Amino acid sequence: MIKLSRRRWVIISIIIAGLWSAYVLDLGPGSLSTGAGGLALAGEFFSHALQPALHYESPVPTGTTPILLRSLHAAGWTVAFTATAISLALVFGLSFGFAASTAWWSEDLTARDTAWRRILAAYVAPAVYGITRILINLMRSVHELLWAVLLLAAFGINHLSAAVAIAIPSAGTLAKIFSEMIDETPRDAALAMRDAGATPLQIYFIGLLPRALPDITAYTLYRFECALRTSAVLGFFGFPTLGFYIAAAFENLHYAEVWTYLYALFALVALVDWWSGKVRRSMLLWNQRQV
Amino acid sequence: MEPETGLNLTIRQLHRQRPRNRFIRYSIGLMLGVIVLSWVLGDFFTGEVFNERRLQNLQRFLSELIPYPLQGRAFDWGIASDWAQNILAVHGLEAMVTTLAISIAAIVLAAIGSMPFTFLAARNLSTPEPFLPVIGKQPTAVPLTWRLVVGMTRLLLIFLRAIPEYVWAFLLLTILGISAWPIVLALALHNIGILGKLSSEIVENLPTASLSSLRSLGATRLQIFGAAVIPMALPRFLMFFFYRWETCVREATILGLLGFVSLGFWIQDARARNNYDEMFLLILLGATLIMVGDLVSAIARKVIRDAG
Amino acid sequence: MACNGARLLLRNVTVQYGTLTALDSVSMEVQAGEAVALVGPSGAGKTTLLKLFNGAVRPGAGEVCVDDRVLASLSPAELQRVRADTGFIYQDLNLIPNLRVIQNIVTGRFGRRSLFGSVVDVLFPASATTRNIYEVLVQVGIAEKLYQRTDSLSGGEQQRVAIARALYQQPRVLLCDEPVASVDPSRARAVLELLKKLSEENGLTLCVSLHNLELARELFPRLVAVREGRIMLDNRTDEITANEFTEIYRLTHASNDNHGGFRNNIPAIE
Repeated sequence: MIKLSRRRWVIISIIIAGLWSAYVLDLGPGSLSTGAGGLALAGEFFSHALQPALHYESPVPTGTTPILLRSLHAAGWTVAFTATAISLALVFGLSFGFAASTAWWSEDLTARDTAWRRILAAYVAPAVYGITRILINLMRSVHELLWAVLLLAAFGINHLSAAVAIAIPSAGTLAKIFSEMIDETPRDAALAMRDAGATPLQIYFIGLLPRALPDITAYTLYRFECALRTSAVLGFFGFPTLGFYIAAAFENLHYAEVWTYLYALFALVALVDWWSGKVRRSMLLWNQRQV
Repeated sequence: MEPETGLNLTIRQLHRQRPRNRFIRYSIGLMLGVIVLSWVLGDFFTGEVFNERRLQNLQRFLSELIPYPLQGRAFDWGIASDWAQNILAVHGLEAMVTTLAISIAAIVLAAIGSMPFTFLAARNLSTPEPFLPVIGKQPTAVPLTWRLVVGMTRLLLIFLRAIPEYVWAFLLLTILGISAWPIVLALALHNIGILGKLSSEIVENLPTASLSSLRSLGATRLQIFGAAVIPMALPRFLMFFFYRWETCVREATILGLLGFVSLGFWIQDARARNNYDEMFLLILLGATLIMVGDLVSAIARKVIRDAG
Repeated sequence: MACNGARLLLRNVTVQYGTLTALDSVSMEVQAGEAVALVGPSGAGKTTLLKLFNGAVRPGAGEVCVDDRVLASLSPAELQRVRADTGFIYQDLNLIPNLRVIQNIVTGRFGRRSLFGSVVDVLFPASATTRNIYEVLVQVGIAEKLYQRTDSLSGGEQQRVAIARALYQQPRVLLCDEPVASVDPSRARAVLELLKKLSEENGLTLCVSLHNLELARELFPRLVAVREGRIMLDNRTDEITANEFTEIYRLTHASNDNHGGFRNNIPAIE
């Protein structure tokens, strides 16, 4: 009885919160379209969904790359920003993930007999853990685009700022998830290593990390896909990714071209999604199919 | 060199024949290649990153982050808190409330809106004989129309998910005018794509025993859905719900950059006026809101998990 | 002399987990090179007893001696060295499922390797290391599985990987906790005979806990019967009377339910 009502309380709070938000934002059926384009514009925009442009809609100077090639080019830039950002995020994510995990100084895996070890376990390690966790939270709590705003204001427009802006929250999230994955890995093999005389660091890097590797890889691929979308959005800020062309085409009222670029983004995300699914399944199954 | 004993040969042969995952190896190679190419060809190191002018700009920027009334003077808590309170009162607090409201409205809308898609995209519901127990040999082949329904629904969900919230908001704001609805809809559409996929997977992974026995008693699809699927799937669905809400809070913060009055709007506004100190405070407010949201979500998920 | 020169010694050892007494004032002595079987119902304290010998469990009272030294008096570095000399085979095997067999086995000697050395061993094993591991695998009979992924092996084969890991460690004492609990009876005899043979060849002191009394009686020259945290009987097998055997048999089977439901494999990763 108590169990049921606790979950019911959650649902009731959600409903109340939803109603409150509708009130605060003045969300009624009437306010759905307040002029500007109106539903007519919506209709015209969505009518192009099934006929994306294969050529430019208005005359362009000779020598402009055809639209399909341009979408490919923009997709390439989108991937480039994402790849650099994720490579940075991985390096820092793994390092911070190590600092933010409790497994390399936890009770059951370390000896606490000498004074140095006691100090390490009682003061140094928890301090490192605490500071890293706070740092990670700060990194994660500012959106990539806001980091971009900050970095652009500080360093001017350059590609490195964009990559770093995407990398910072990604690194924070990767670090948090990595540390949780490693801390939650089953420790049976780790205990066996401890009983055979291994040191806590050996246990961390060989007894725990390899076992968590499939999950770590899966999550990294997921972050890659998220970063791909953010990278596309950075085009709105002037970078040569897909977002730039979407914004430009829309402002010129070339709706069919907008759909071309939207479909290009869709194809890119779908491709990455399919590939990461295949990687995950492949990691799971390969031992049953002897190559 | 190593003596070519029989032992060495055997080991070498075993090594050659060891099971290797070709696909993973190629994928790793591909990823590394893409990363290296991106760094090299991506114009990331144009000019010197830390030349004289850049450093001066950076110094200027950092000094402008200090609250305006404090610049050039000794630090004073009184002045600082007055300045902060002023910003909060004028629009900071209201923007935070708006941001929060947007996130809640969007996720609730997404949860409701994803239900019909769950229905259509879950392979064990979207067939002529839902939850049919597999007796012995092959299950009856699913006719083409049903498979098309599942396929098209999934494609649509992927599309909704592939387009970032920001892009949806950009499009909808022009079409529907500047109000709360386009932002909420943009967030909701994107999350319908995500929640729809996740909940269809939950439904597909449900244990079919009880469900197929209900079916054999003659219950309709809708009846099974309401009476059995929803209660069984609810805890996991709620977990995903709160996970996605955390992201909605983040996105709601920045969607204001496009012109609607959430935190993002005032951040953009402060930046345009070169009030970097105000911009920085607003960014910190946003971060606080997000951290609080993460905390609430963690507590809610713990409650759901512990309640069975 | 505190330790009597024995390889393994327990003197009046008591172990308590909270209010539960796992072992109550237990004393036992094992000489170098002996092969001892611990029998008794599950929960009697056999695992705890074995874990005392590698320091995984500390006694609440009494002394534990390994290699003629009291464990409690050792510094952490010395304890680590004792552990490096003590091999343990777990009931649940405790292998890393997604690593190859060679990588699991190489972890056996980590007690004597540096951090850098151990990483190199796992990623780029030297040919001498590979040869040594191969030879250990030959001893347990699964040499061709050298590079297979550990969770692709059957339960019995994984068992032998665990044994190989313990042997590669080149310990002086080999402690085995129910090594054949999840193996079918025909295999069980083969594995135990293998353990005995290997320990005789390598001069190890062997201490194995079993709940199968027939096998213990057949293969081990000395039996120690444990019941509810106390040693009921500790004698050479050929000096145990028929009545005593019946007694042990009754108690072992009275509280042992069928162990046929044991999982045979380490669960593969999700």
